[in-house]
Amino acid sequence: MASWSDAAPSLPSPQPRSRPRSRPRPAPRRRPQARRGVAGGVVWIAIVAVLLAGVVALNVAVLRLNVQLDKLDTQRAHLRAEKQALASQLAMTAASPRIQLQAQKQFGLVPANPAETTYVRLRPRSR
Amino acid sequence: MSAKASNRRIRLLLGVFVLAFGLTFLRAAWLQGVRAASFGRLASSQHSEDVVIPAARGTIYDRTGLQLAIGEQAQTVYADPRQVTDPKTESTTIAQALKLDPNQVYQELTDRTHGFVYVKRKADPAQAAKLEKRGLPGLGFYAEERRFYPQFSLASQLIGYAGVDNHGLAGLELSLDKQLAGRPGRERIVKDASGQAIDTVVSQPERDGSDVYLTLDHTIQANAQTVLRDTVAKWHAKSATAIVLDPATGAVRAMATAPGFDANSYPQVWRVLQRNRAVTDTYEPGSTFKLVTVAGALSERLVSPSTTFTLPYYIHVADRTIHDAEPRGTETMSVSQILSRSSNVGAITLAEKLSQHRLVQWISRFGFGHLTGIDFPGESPGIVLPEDKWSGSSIGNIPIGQGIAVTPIQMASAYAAIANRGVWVRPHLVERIGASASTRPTRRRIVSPWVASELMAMLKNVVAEGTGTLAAVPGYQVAGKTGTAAKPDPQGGYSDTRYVASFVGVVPASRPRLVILVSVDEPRGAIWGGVVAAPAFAEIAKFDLQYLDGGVPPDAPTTATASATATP
Repeated sequence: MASWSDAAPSLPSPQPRSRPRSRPRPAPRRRPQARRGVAGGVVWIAIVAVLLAGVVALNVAVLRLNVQLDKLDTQRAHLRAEKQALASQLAMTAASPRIQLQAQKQFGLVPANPAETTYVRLRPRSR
Repeated sequence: MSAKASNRRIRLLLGVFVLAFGLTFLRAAWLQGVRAASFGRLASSQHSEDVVIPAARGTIYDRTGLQLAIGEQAQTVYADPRQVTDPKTESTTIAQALKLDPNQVYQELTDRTHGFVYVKRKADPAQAAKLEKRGLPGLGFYAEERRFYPQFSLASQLIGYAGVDNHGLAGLELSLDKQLAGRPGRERIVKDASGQAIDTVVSQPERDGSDVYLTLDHTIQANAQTVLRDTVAKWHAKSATAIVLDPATGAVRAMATAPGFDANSYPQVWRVLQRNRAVTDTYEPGSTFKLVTVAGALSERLVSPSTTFTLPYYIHVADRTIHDAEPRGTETMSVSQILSRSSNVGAITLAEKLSQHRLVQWISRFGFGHLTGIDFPGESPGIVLPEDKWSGSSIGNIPIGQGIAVTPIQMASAYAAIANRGVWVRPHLVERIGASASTRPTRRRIVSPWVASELMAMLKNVVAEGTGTLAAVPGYQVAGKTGTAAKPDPQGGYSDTRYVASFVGVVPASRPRLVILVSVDEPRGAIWGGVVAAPAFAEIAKFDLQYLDGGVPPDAPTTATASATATP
């Protein structure tokens, strides 16, 4: 008897098709690598920039110090010149014949007569 | 086009390329190999510059620490005539500011053949600063050290001077130039485009010159110079020399020559005035030399101070007749009296007893004919005849100080040896250089202490009762000897009008502190050492004894009292 069956002639039941494995798409897989690469590049750029800035800053500092050194050298030369001029003045004024002459003129200094100079001989200490 | 023709063109092109590259390679090799050094120098000269940093010249001090020669800053003014826009106005301004001749400055500024001319080297800094403020085009300034002598004419013949390049040209400045000059430093400066120094690549620091400390005392020196100046003026003499020496150490406390000069203006001074005659010039000593004859005779034990001789007024030696200075009859004199009365006949008699050979040895032993070794350039050893050149009459003139030439420093150090109990000490001017310790001067015994003591007693008689009474210093015992020598005549023989009067003395005679020599060249009005030089000696000695160490205690208080009583 025929039976209704909407069943279709039985066909070999198809093998349950294994669901295609979801393979990681290459793009999503590639994106983190690129990000890391970019990040690495940025870091390198930053490092190089910092280094460059450091080198520039160092050079500027050296330059400033050199300019300062030059100024200090000039200042030292001026001070040295001033010291020498003062030493010359001092040497001129400190000479005892000049002082003696001034004392004679201003205060009437009279050299002591050796014949009238008395030297006191101290007695040797009593033991 | 055939393939053959095409190949030929390719080969031709290849050849052209090979040739071009070859030429380029050769050019590169030429530039980098052969011309590398000169181009390298050219490049480095554009951005770097070698700068010499001058070392400061050392200061010269006297024994009290007073500066006698010092370096001070000056400004050198130069010009680039090619950049000077208005030479006429500029030369007037410059000449006014720097006190120069305007015509001379104008000539320099209009000479456009040079890019650099000195306007004034080592100008006064204040004057140069005023000029710099004017901002004249083509004018430049740089600092230089110049030598300055703050005591002006004090010991100028002794100290000498340094030239415009700061190198010693005379005196101690010359002999100590190496120590005083130091070593200049070097720097290589890297410049930017505007010429501003931005870095120093190589640097060798400068080493300043050492300071020099002399044995000289500026107070004693100044007094000696004043006394000499007065003596020269009083006797209308050509010149005069004085030495003040410490007999125990050989330290020279003063070495003066009159007339003097200001060392700061040395280029305008006659060269003859710049000589330190005490060391470089010789003179015939006359009777002061009799000390050597008497010392020889005493040391050889041929005579004692009390040995007597019967001496006529004159004596014949070979073809010459020599007599004493003052006419007298035949007299009996002791050796001590021969020296105190300065008898020529007596000294020749002693020399004949001593013999020519031994006299020559004694002359050499006292250092005559040899350099004393004093630390001053251009010392003369004097003129002493070698024994084989003596004539028959030499024994008649050399024992009395004629026919022999000595330097004042030789004579002063010979007397210092007697004052120092017979030990000769090398005279010296430099106490120490920089921080180094002073060296002990050479010493040698020339006579025994006994002979030295006997000679001192005889020399005291010279001042007490002989020819040197005007050398007496109240309160002190003085030992010394007068000398009067005729100068050699250019036409031969000796002059009747030109003499050298001298006195060498020791004070205080009981404990000698100073030996003082005074010699006066060609005095007029009087010629005798006892009249011309002895009072100058007394003046110097009187001052020095009061000054030295706050006053040297008198060793003859009776003379002080007598003198004080006699003074109204």
